[in-house]
Amino acid sequence: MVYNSSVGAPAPRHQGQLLTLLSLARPARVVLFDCDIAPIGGPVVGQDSVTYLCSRLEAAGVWVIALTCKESSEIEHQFSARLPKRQHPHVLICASNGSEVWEVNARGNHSLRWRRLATETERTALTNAAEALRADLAGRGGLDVRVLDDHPNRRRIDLLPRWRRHDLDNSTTGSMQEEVEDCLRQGGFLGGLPEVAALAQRLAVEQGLRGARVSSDVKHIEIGLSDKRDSAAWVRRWLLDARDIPTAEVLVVGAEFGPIAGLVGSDDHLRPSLPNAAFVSVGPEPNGVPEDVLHLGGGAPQLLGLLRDQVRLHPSAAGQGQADHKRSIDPQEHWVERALALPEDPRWRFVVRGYRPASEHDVETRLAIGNGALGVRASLDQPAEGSRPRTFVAGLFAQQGAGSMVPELVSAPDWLPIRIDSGRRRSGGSNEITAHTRMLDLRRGVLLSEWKQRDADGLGTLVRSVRFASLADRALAVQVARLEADRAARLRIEAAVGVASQALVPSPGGRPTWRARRGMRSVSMRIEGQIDASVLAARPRPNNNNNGWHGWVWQAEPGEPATLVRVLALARAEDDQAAERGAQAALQRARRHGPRRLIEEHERAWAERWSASDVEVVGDDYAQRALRFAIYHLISTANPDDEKVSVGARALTGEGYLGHVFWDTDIFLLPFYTFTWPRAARAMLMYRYHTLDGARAKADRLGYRGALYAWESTDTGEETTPPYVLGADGRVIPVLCGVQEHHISADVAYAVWQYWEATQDEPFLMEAGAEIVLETARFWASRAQLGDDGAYHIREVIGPDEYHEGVDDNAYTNMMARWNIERGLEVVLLMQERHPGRWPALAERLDLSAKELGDWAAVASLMVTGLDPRSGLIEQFAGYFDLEHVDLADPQYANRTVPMEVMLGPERTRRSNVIKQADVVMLQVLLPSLFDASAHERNFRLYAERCGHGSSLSPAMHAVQAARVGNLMLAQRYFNQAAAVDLEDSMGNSSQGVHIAALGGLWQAAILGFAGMSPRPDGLSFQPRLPSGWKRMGFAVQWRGRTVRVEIDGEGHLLTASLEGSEPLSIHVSGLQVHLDPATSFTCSYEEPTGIDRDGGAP
Amino acid sequence: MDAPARLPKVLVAVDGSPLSLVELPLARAIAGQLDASVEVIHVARPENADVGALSIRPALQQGDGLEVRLATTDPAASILEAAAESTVALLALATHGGVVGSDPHLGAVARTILAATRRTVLLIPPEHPGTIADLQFDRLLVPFDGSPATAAALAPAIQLASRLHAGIDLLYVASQEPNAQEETGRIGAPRYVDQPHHEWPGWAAEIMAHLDAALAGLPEEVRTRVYLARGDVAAEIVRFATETHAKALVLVRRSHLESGRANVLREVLNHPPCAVLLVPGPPGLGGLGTPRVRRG
Repeated sequence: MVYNSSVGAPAPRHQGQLLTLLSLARPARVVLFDCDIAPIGGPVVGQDSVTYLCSRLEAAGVWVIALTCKESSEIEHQFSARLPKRQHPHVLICASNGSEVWEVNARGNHSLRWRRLATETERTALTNAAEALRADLAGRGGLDVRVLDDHPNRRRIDLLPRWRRHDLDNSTTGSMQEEVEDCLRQGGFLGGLPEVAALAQRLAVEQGLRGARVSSDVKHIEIGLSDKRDSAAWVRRWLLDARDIPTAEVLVVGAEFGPIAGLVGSDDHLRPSLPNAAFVSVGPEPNGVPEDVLHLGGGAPQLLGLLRDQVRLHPSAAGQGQADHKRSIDPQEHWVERALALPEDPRWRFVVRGYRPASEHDVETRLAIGNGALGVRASLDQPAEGSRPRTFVAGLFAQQGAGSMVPELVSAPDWLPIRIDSGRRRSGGSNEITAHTRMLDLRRGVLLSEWKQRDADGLGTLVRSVRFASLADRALAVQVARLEADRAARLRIEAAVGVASQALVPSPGGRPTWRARRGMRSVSMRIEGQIDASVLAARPRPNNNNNGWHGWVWQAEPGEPATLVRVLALARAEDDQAAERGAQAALQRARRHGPRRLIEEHERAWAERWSASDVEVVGDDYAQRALRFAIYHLISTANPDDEKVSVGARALTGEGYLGHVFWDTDIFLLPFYTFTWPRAARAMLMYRYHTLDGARAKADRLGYRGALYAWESTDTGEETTPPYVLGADGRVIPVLCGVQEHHISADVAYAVWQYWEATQDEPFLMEAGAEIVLETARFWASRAQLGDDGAYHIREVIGPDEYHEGVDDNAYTNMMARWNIERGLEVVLLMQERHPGRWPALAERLDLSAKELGDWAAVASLMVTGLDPRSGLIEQFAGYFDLEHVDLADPQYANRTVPMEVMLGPERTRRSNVIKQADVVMLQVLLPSLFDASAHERNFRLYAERCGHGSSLSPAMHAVQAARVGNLMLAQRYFNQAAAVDLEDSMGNSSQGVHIAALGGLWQAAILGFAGMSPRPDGLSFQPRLPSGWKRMGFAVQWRGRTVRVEIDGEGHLLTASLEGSEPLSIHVSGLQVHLDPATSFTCSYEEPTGIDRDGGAP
Repeated sequence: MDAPARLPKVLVAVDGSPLSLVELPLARAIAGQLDASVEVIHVARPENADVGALSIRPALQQGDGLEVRLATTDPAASILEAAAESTVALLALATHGGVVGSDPHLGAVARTILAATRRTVLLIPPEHPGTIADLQFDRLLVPFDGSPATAAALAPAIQLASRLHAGIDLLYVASQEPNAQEETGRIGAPRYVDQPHHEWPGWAAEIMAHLDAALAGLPEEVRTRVYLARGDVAAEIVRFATETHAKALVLVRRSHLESGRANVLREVLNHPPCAVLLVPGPPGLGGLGTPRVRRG
């Protein structure tokens, strides 16, 4: 028996109770109990006390959680005095009726893990609600009641002041309840305590406390901000979910699950957050218990018995050695099966069943894998018509042929194709694929495939495969295929390497190394494969004589699968020899580690990334999928160890945009990396530093000073925008972005500055960041022209709205230029203050004089901005307001199936006020402090109505701004529009690769828009505004060497923040400053700004 | 011993009227490119046979070795019977000789023939025979809606282009119908174009890849260019053909021409801007559910 036999247990009457009874016979991983049942220090039954048993369980790795309504100070010394010093503390105390969580640390001291903070507004509201209740009870009913203000998070109304608190125990509850009910009835409250509780709830809501907790222990009515449901929610989120502990492995022991005085029992609040846990009541429960709760009764002795049984059920807790049942599993089998396991959680996977040539290229894009050095499209393992396999190598640019105007990202030879048959026919027969499924496991960063095939001889084979580009060792990619024949047969598997494209010039001597044609880099690849059949008697033997295919033949038996493991080692370097050395070294590492370790380290690396980057959304599955998809690709495409590459417009998933790097990286991607993966952000910014000479050369070529970054950049930083293009109508169209779209220099500076503010990475600032900001500032100072009006103008540019070329004083360009110059001046001061020894050398190297800095200041102060101070409106560029108005709400445009410039034609588009993408809105997103609330709203409304969203970059930025101005329905629509770009191929061009900037924008829409995060010089600030359906949102951000984890409860308007790192940090939530200590979390309510519109419509 | 292979031939139907005779140079040109012979079938009423023969003589004198057969019974039946011969690779006829029907603008004979034949038909509008200065079909204009079914149906058009050693101008007309692009597997017109110099070539390459997949390989010798237009499909085809002085427009016929079906085809034939090659669609489309494994 697992319960106290002296008390006994009633026969379970419901399935839930039966399951609970059964679960009592299993060891729990978490034991959560109401320690008000049995004081921590006693009672002692035999040798056992609660503390002793808890320490035994803790030693076995069981989490022990004690719940109490008392203040932490009342129990502080109970555990700490009795628990021995331990290495791995597993004891938590949820105190103060759901307002705090304390950890009993290794030294036995209590340290705060979480606290629900009450804002001043909430405290006032609590007091007002309690006073209103008191006044009502006293006024209407003539009752003598008192308000107790003994905790910031709650107010208690004492209904029987003449009774002392210690009079309240199980033995007196009944008589006290009779007296309270009698008093209330005499006072006219015929509904008794439930009526008073309902009144208290209503009064609390009237005071703005939407999530107020009202409870009663009969003597008191309590209005508070927390109760046990908050303890349970914390345990679920921060303990169970964080450690992947199923709730079914939690044992909960309480005493008040059943209703008391018509109110829900206090322990019953634990159940919603802990579904499938085993709930046991040891209390008297005079009114019965809910169906799923097993009522044992027996009080403290019963609790001790349950704890003692748990000790017995854990062998190590009982002093026995723990048998490792895993030892019986063949390690080889174990890792292969684990690698091939399909993810069960639909929130972490993307599945494609079947095969359609027409949509195959989209699938190959969406399910692509990568690690920032390699990107492998999700083409089939076997060669197939319509398949476009590509393995892209970051930074490997070449020119394909004589007609190629610019360098483009090129693919390494295809290393994936395998073919399987009986080996009897050498050629001519085709395999029939009878079923095919591909699945992208986002969590592990692997692509899984499963297919059944039948060859020309009728041999059926089931093939399961997994491939990944190692996130732990970026020079390696692995393909594992497990094959099982449906009958005893001779089986042949062959693997091959494809032919290199013409853009790669083979190295002399037939070595697998190539030089990029008209490029500056080489690539070398080594592939090694081996097959491990489980049938020892028929060892597979290599069969290498098949025209470039490397193969194995063996005698297969049904039920005895064989496993093929292939490793690709690939290195890119400045010359052939270095590339060869790199590939060879990577292959040696792979051999040394073996595939099992390779995949384990890869999975660990992904787990680490997800821990830092995941955004969890509860209540909106589409948004959750979209964000995970976005973050997956953002992680897949960055390489923090390579400063010579950046991220192209389609990442490493497709050939679109030729792998060229645009402002997308600096404005749309960098925020994600800066706030979740600063090392990756730093590497991308260093790429800008390494291409600074190219930017200087471009500025010089166009007659300016400083650095003008290439609109399209590859490996050198030279401009690689083609000068013209053959348009869709067959006409030759000049491409002006390369000579007119200059805002990119300010965009790069913006990314540098944001990284600096978020990290305070001094070495970066000194080594690279300052120089970038200064040289771009210098460019703007030389680019602006002093006009007759005494103001500085920037003429003949293209802003983000590329429908309008050659315009003067584009507001985005001008204001970003001004901002860039101001940051340049700030960098000078900063260097002078912080690094006075290094500044003179930098100033001399850049030939920066005091006079030049003075000129900069003049340009910045006199820059035309386009702002009309009377209306608060910004004119997008000079003359914009005079353009022909085109009403995009007109059905002929609203229902368009082609871009607006195709609808209107290029000439009319230029003459119209239709804009291609966020321009002034982009400015609002990047520099929000330039606008007051009214100007934000007015400019957004004006320009959102005119935006044709002719770019994938546009919707997400509109989502950020719509959220900031409080139009959440519109923000959500923009968010979904941005998500659909790749999830639904809404632009019709996902086949060319994912729209990585749109994916970065999606993260910004969630974090900067809905969570309302804004980095400020004095710290992070949050002003959440969750859209409809988003019940909860959780994420982590990095700030100055620390990790801040944030969870937003959209229904309760609560924000929980915790801090990882050694130094404390202050953040702001709805204007309230919250001080975070390491390893501690806080919850506080947030107030939504006025004017929030969740049901709003246009534009 | 096998019989010697007979040369394919282009069958040209004329009725002796001046309008019908405009097709002869075109038929000769296409026959030359197909390495085919030309056979003229002259349909005339018995009482007018002699007059008719006289009227076509000048036209016939422009070429050598033309085989002429005279048919004096039901014109359509006669042409269909002649076209049914296995050596006929293509049937050329004018859209009309005299009176035309209302929709499409075809003469009674042309209408009857199109309803019955499975041959490729070169339809020549007498009013707009096209600008073929050098009598060479070097580029064919082929409309395409992006759907896998249409892509597969283009196989005969591609084959024809290959045999003619002609290139293809593939015209994608984005329909204004909001749901027009929602067919499964259909490649739509790009709804947004971010950087045109990247998007258009990328989109065109994808169109070509779809064709390549649907046709199990696009012949390399058929040089193909992709264009985009927007609006009413038939009107845009006519406009584009007119503006680009297209020499021949290739349309795939997948259904008969009765009212309510083949709307685009009927509308184009109402205003044919140039010669129209009507190719019959393939009888069925292959399954697309599983990959076709490529060997080696």
